[in-house]
Amino acid sequence: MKGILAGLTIALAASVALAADLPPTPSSVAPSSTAKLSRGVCGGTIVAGNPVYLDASDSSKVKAADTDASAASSKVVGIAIGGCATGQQVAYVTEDTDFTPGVSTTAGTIYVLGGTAGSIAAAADLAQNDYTAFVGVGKSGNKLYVKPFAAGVARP
Amino acid sequence: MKSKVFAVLGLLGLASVAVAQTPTPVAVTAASVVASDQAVIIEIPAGATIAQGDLLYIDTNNTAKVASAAGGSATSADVACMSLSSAASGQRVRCVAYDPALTVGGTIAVGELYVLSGVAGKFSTSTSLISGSYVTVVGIGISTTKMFFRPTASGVAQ
Repeated sequence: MKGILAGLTIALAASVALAADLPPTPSSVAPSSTAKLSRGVCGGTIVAGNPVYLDASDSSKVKAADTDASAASSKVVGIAIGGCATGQQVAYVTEDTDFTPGVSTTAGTIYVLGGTAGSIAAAADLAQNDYTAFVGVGKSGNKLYVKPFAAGVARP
Repeated sequence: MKSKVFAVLGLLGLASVAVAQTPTPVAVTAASVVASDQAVIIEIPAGATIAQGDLLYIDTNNTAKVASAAGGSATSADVACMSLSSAASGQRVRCVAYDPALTVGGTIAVGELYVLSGVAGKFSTSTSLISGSYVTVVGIGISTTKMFFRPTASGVAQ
């Protein structure tokens, strides 16, 4: 009996650990013709499809956002539509009703920042200590309504 | 014996379906809804009876009405604001369109995403949306009483 319980515990832990971050396929990322775009200077390596934030402690440079590290890096402002290295310019989508994110999405599912920098995940995968940051809502298997915002608070 | 077991299991199944189809919105005390100093507040004519704390959309006549995720259209799920006062049809209503620290008048959870509910004017956790509901995120809980309020309607149904 104890063995079964231990097994279930391990399986449960594994399922939590495997909460699916969705890193993008950069070549598949595309904004729609009505997307609202902004632009900034990269503060690190970024690939198309990475959710990004502006680092206030580093001249508001554009960096890959994530839900785990800090309130600051969870404050997503958009999704990069191109790649860049440090010091290069990058454009990112701040709002798009028909964005192609380069990951598989599900209609009606709410997406948030993932734990891996530059990824998204389903809101149902949010865990303790994650900074909740809304990214968008799935419209179909490969389209996302994008209008990100974050409160900078972590789940207790 | 078997038939009794199946009957009980059947009832349990029906009960679980009934629970799944009944989203539970956050209970709001109207008088406790308060905007912060940083709120963006608008004032528009009401197109129907509105209670303080109701989530509102703006219809094609540019009047405010009570929003619902289960209203059958993306338009009525397109939340524009939360009312800060009650109003009858034709009266003007003040409502908050954005607020980084809105006191919502109910008990909420830190870090929780909240969405427009299928119950008219209300909001609930994002996990309580049911099939057919239009997904409109209204904000993120920043304390047990305050929400980072930024309504965002996707126009997409689950």
